[in-house]
Amino acid sequence: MGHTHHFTKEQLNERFEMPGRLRNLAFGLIGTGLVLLLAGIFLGGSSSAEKPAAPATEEHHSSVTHTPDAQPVSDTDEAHGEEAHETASVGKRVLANLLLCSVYFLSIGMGAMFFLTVHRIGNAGWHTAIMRVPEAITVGWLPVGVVGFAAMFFFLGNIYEWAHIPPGVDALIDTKRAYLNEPFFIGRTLLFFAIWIGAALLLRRLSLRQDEEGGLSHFKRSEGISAAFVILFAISYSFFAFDWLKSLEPHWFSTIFGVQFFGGSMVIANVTIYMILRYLQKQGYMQYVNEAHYHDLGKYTFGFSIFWAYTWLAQFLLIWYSNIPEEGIYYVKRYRTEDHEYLGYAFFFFGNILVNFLVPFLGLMTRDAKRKLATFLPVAVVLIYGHWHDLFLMIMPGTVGQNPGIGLIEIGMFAAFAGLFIFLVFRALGRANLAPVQHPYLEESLHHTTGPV
Amino acid sequence: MSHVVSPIRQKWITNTETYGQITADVCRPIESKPSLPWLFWTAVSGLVMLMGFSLIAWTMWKGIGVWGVNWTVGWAFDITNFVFWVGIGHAGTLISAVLLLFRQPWRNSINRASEAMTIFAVLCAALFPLLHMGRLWLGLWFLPLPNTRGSLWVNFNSPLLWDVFAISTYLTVSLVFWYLGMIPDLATIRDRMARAGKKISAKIYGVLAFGWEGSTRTWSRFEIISLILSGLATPLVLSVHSIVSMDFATSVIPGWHTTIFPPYFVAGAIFSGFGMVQTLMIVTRKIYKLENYITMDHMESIAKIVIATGSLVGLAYTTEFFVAWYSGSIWERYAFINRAFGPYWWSYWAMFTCNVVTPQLFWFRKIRTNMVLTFIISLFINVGMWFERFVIIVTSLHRDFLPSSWAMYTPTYVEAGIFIGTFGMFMFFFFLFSKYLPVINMFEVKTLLHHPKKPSHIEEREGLKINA
Repeated sequence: MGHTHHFTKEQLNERFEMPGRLRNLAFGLIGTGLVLLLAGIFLGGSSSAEKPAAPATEEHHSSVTHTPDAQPVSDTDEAHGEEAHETASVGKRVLANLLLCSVYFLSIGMGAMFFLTVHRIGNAGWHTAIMRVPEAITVGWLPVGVVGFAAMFFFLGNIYEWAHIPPGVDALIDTKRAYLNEPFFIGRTLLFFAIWIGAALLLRRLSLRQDEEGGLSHFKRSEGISAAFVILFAISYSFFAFDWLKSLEPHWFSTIFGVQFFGGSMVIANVTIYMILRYLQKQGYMQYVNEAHYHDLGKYTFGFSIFWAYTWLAQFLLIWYSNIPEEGIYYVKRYRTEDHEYLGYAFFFFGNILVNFLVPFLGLMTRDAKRKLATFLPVAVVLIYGHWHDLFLMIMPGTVGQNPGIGLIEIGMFAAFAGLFIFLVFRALGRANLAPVQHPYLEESLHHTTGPV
Repeated sequence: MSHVVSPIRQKWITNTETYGQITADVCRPIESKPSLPWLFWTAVSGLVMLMGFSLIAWTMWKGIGVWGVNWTVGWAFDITNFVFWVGIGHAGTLISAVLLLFRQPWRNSINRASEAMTIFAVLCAALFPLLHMGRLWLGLWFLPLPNTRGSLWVNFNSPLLWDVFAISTYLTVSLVFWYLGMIPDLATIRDRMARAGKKISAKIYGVLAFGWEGSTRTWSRFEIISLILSGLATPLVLSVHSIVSMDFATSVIPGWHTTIFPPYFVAGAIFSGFGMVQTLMIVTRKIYKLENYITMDHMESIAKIVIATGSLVGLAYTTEFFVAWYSGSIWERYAFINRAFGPYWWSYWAMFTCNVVTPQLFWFRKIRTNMVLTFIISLFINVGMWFERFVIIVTSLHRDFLPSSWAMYTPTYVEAGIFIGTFGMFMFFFFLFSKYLPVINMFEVKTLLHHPKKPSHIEEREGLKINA
């Protein structure tokens, strides 16, 4: 660990300039992604989604979702499942993927926001040298990334059952209309975005002003803002997950849903910060970042992937154990291998534990695995895919329905988002010093060691 | 862990210059004669404990008919107390294991006492599942032992059995961790006793210290085993109370069956544990004059954890209530409306006020640095967290699925007495601990004594104003 030599002012004042290759990669991804997406649309959905329509929908539905009493779950699922099946159109699939990718990258931004704020209120010092990376993720991505959701405001009825079924048809949805209605839904979302983006911009402004003016006043102000954000985040992020993800299957409910979404977000955010840092160091920047920083990010990745698995287990085990039909339907759709119509999801269901828990758990257990790129990289690749996989399993059964597939639309949409994310985040990185040069804990961070652990 | 510490950081030990002073301050209660107040309060708590044991004996003699439980409300004070005490224990584990992994130096002053608290609390907790069987002597049946009782065997599918494993693992690991961490300090006391010519004491502490000689090799092994144990203890912070929550959540009873229960119980457990840490530390630092080691900054840090966990618990209450409505299930909706506005409404609002509203007072620095107010708030938290378990257990049970089975529950003096008795037991053990064992981890606190000197080039470059 190079913590014995000292870094000069010039080394700390360095700024990132986007290399042409990175810019090309970003635009290349956007371009290729859009081309693939359009190709997918014109080919009418591609690859595995082209399987012949599932037979005998009626019987399977009733066998699966029969509920004993007046709970209208089974009837409506049948009615709309049928309709969804007929119109599981390309448009629906594009929207579902737009939702998936918007949520995916938003969760990186929000994970980075939580990373920054919780370290601030915990009075942490170790992350100071690397904090410009999560900062760039928040201010670079969040204001643009939310546009994807705004676009979906106009198509809510196409993927959200509750937005498309008129009142009087589905008794259970009708009891929730005070909450699940378009104006309130959109209003809540806009309020959440305003809070999140507002806090991100405010913290960034304080951080940049500190670079210029020094002193402790900006640093102190950021504490209160961070504390307020964490409180609001806990509430809003949970409801955001209820709104945009859980309400895709509006009959179903689970109290832990928001916590699980949070766990997944923290994993992907830490992986992203880690990989961006590695890239920057490879380009010759931020030579003051040492293995201890990577070790700590690796510990978070390891820890949060266990936390994600914990919340996954809490939800699955309790629902499986109690076996109440209106809850169990969620998993019936996702892992019942006897059902032809939902057969496609069993792979995702069991794969989810593999990619999001077993791989990071076994892969990142040792000290060196977290500190060395050679061991972290394969796990990171799996986790970058894994978060997508997890969201796919949350979103697709309620939107696309039977016969999910990974084809041109899925790949194209993700590539386009990834390209845009890379461009925006690295552009934001270049707009400030890579080190917060006047931060009171910078020196601690430059000399960071994890000690024996 | 950085060898550079920012000048704006506070010092975790105040008004202390030498290692010797730390040893002297921590060992003083052990080396001096028991004080009158100590004797008085130890006797009082001992008597309260005996009162509890007498009522336990009475319960065993007569059967649990002397309690207020009935067919509908089959779990009440017993399981409420069980969950309450297990929860209290969690702060100790969090402080000793999780805060170690998060490199929080302030844990060094409070870990010993909190771990002791954990062990005594788990002992109190373990009483109740045994008692509520009504036949204490059959407690052996909890264990999956080969037996001659025909096909009678534990049910591995039952969360109640998982609980047996969870709690016994928890007790074992906590006990080993606590004791192991104490060995170097016990050796210090042994040496001091020998020097003072107290042969019998030196002998006893010598046996307790396992012949510790403080060589580099011993220290190196000691550090490694501490690290391994803290790694093992970390999942326990989550797993124990998660499994306790599954005693309820795997059922189909509205108000019990909800997926957020595991993390919600964990947050609540840490919250209640830190409430108890506040209560005990305020008393301990005052009585033994340890304000230089358990400083105002320590108390503030604890208060901040109380805000965080109290707010998490509040979020869980809100989520549960919201999702009960959102589920559209009439049973769920009724269970929660009944909780807040039914016959036990007062317990719900006691819970909500104590657990969600009072901790918010700690947002104000004036309040969290005022030890009288902090002490009062910590008592509110203890009360609130007891009520939380009462609300979950009793209000969910007393309205059965059939209205003809509806019932009310009122505790009898026996149940109340046993509960008070466990407080006697808890305090009795804690008093003994604080007199005969080092309440502060001396060798770990010593690592915080000397702030590394700040390299001069840093001050030049940063031009920082030092306001600490």
